[in-house]
Amino acid sequence: MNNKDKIILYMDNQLSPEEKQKFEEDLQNSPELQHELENYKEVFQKINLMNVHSADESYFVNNVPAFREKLEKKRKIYLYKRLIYASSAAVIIIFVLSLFLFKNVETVPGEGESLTSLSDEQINNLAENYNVLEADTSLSAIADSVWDELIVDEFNFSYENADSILHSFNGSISYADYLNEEEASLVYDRLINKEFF
Amino acid sequence: MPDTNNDFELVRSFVSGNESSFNKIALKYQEKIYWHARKMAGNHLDADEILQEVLLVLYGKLKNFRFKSSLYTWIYRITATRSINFIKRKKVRQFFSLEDKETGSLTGGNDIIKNLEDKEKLKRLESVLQEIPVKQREVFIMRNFEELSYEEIAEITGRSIGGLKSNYFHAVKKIYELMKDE
Repeated sequence: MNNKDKIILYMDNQLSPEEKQKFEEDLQNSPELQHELENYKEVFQKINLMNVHSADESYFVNNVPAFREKLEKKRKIYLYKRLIYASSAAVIIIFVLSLFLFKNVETVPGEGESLTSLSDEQINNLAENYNVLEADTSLSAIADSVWDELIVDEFNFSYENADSILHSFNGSISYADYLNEEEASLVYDRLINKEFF
Repeated sequence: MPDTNNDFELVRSFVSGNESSFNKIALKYQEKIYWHARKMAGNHLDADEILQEVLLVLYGKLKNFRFKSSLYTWIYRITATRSINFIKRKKVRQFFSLEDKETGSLTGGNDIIKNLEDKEKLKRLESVLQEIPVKQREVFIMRNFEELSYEEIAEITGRSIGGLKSNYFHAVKKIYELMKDE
């Protein structure tokens, strides 16, 4: 450790008691060291003299009111921002909700038309185009044939007889009217165990 | 060190809704904040900005202050951190030429020191302090001007005492070299 380092530590009171004692002994015997120490002290004196705090009083007096003013402005900006965010969020929510609502009301059949705005004729045309009626007819045919088959099996009717009975009543009476309770129950059981599709 | 009991009452009063208590706290500590910031930043405009920033932080965070340290230490910690952050931000802005390098040293009409002799002295001090690295400058200001112990500086800065002593040592060495011929 050179003298300059020792001086800095000595002035900062960072030397151990032994080091301090040794330094002070050296100091007494060395005019050069004394001179160097004086130089350091002078520099510190200068720098401490430069540390002036003679400020304009009004600055500190007005600082707190000025701070309050800034704080108020910040609060207003904060509230304004929150208002903007809330409005934006509301617009987005309304937009999204409206999308869902319009989707449910307007069932688009293909060309942007609402079903409610179509005439009966247009609906029938659409149904034909989409084979809806054909599908129903074909289902009815399957159901009829299963029914006929059951009637023929249960009552030993020929297909012709079963068919003529149906036509003679012109659909105004059902087969069930000819059945007693036990037979009806049997037909019902057979029907529910039958695999239609 | 400032009166801790009074600080406790002021903080409690502010937390319970008395806004004027914050004014009292600000009035009590603003000069200490300002002068630390001024010596760190080297000019009035930056020191003023740091002071406003520190007061804003205090206003926002005082409600969470639990007196684990003294209010003075806590405020000094915020001031020290904000000052260093401000200097770093400024350096980055200057590096990317977002701010004129001379802007920061414009003190003339904006300075709060009206006495010309004092103004010259402080200007010289600021120019010397600006010559040493930020962390060394911070320790030198706390140790030499605020006369804080290394333990107190360590509590404020969160750095080790050994590191602080080393910072101070190198700061003094550099300052001596800069000023020995004046």
